[in-house]
Amino acid sequence: MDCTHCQGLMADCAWGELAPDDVRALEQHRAGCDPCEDAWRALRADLEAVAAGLVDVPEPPNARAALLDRFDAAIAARPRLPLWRRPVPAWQAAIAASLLAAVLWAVGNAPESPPLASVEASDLLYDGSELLSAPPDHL
Amino acid sequence: MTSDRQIIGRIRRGDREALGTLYDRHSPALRAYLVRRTGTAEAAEEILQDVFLALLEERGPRTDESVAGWLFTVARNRSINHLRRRQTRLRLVPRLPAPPEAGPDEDAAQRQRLDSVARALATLPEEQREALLLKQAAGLTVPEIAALQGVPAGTVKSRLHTALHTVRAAVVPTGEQPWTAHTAKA
Repeated sequence: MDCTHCQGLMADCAWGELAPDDVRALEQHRAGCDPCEDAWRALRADLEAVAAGLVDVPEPPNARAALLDRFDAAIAARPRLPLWRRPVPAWQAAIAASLLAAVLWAVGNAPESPPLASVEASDLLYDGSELLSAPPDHL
Repeated sequence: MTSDRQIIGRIRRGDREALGTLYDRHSPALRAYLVRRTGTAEAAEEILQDVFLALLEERGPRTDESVAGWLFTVARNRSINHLRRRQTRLRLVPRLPAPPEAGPDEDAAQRQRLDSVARALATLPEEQREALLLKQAAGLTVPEIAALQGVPAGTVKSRLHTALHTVRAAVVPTGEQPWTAHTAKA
C-alpha cells in the first residue's frame, strides 16, 4: 500500500466502512510512515470537529426530565399483561431453559423397564381357572 | 458499556434510568436531525420524545438493524407525518449553525478551527450535510443512511466523501491565521 492509497482509505476506515483486511493493511502502512500517521491524526481531529459542528442544537432545559416524566406516565398506564405475555428477563429464561433441559435429560436417561415381550400374557390376564378348580371351603 | 440492545430490554421493563442512558447517547444527533427536518425546535423536541417512547409501543430494531438506525428511521417517519399533518412542505433549513462553544482552556486556534468547520458545514448541500450527520454524529452505517435517504449506498459514499472534502478544504489549519489561508487560496 502506498501513501496515496492509504490516505484515500482513511475516511472509510475512520467511519468503520473498511474491510478488515484493508484496515490491517492501512494500519501496517501508517505504523511505518510518519506523513500518513500525521494525516490520520489530522483527519481524526477534523472528524471530531465536524461531529461537534453537526450536533449544534442545544438541548432545551428540562427536556430530559420531561421525557422521563412521560415515560413514567406511559409505564403507569400500560395495561398489565397476562403472566404468559410478560417479558421475561434473560437470566430467568436461562434458568427455565436449564431446568427444562435437566428434566429432559433425566427422562431420557431413566432406567429401562423390562420389555413387554418378556411378560407372558397369562401373567397379566386372570382366567378364573383357580376358582373353577378349587371349590370354596364353605361349600 | 451496556449495549443499546440490553438497554432497550430494560426500558421495556420500565427502567427509567435505562431510558435516560439511551437518551444521553442518541438525543444530540437525533435532535439536530429533527430540527433540520421539521424546521422548528418545538416540533423536533416533541418528535424526539415520541421516538424514545415508541420503544414501549413498537417492535423495536430488527436483529440486523442497529438501535441508532431504528431510532433515526422512526424519527424520519414521524417527521414526515408531522409535516403532512401540518401540510407544510418539507423544509430543510439552510441555517448557519452556531459554532460549538470552546472550553475555557481551549486556545484561540482551536476555537477558530471549530468555527471554520461550522461555517463550512453550513455551505454543504442538505443531503450531504445530512449524510455526514448520520455517519459522523449518529454512527449509522452506509446501508442504513442509504435506506433513510432513499438512495443507493454508492450515492451515500459519494455524498460523504464530497462533504468531507469540502469541509476539510475550507477548514483553517490549526495555528494558521484565516487571512493567511485566504491568501494562500487566492
